[in-house]
Amino acid sequence: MTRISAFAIDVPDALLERARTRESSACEQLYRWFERPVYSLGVRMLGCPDAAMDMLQDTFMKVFDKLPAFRGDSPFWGWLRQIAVNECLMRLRGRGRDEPSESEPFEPDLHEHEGLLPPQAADAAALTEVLGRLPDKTRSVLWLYHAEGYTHDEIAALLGQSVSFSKSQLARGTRKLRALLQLTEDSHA
Amino acid sequence: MPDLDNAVPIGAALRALPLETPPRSAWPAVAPAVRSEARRPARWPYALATAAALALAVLLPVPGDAPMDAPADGALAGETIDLPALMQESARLERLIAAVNDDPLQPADALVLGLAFEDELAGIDAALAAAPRGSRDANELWQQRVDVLSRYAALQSSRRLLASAGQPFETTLVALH
Repeated sequence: MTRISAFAIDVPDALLERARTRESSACEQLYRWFERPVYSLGVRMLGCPDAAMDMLQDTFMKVFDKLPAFRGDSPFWGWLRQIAVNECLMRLRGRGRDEPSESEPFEPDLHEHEGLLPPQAADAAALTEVLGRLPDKTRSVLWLYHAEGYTHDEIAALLGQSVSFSKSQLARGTRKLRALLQLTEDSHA
Repeated sequence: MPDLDNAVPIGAALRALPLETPPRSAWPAVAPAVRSEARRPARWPYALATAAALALAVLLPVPGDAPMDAPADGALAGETIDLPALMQESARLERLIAAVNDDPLQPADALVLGLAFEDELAGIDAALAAAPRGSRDANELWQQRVDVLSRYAALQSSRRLLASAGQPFETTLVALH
């Protein structure tokens, strides 16, 4: 399956070189290109515009601080995205309580048809609303896996949990989304 | 799932969500850190060596400067702000200034004036960080940012022009005053 992240923007080497030397206009251009992908990631993972705004600012502070150490052996957008994801995870760790953990019973794997959501999912507002009702960590696993293309191994490493935990959260989140969207659809029928 | 014909794969549904737009730009809060890191190594020695020139230099009029009593947002009255155009102009002027500033042998008074401009920009950026995007305040602040950058660009262009003609910049400023 081809997954295209909103972060996947090719940045010219010349622009990166100028940004490495802290040339303000080059840094500003990078900010403008990646502002919405970073903020959107924050909203999806943190579920709160204010927290996403803080995360947006801190992410770019770190990006420009660490940019001289960026070696360029991977795409710049992937490097920047990882900083943004780490910023989100750091904030999620600070919340902690009431979040799913390894001690929960694992959710059975999804059947193939369970990867399909009710038609209501095509309504961006409805999907955004029900996403916001999932636990932060569950929503983050869904987003990192489906929208950003992370593997379960990568998500497990990021969360400091097992691969089984990542798969379990994906299954649980998907079933919850289906149920919530179905409820929404039924209530509009 | 009764309606399988219209069912949506979860991955496609999530990826199809539109990007969110922040309520305000974080750039004004990030920019001062970028600028302070960029100028820190080169400018401290100059600033220390030219402390005596500071008081004189910041009071001098800048070639191409607007009158001091003209309101910075005077052009806004009754006009529609084209925010993307202002942002582009801001970036263009910053590129121009960066290109002109790429000169390790700038006279001390030009460096000190540059610091004064950058302090003014930092003040505007700090206000922008607090202004909701699209608000009248934010639009006016972007206009002010472009105005300040225009004056700064005019200053640096004048300096380079005078330098190419072999004339010292600080003498000319005093003569203009």
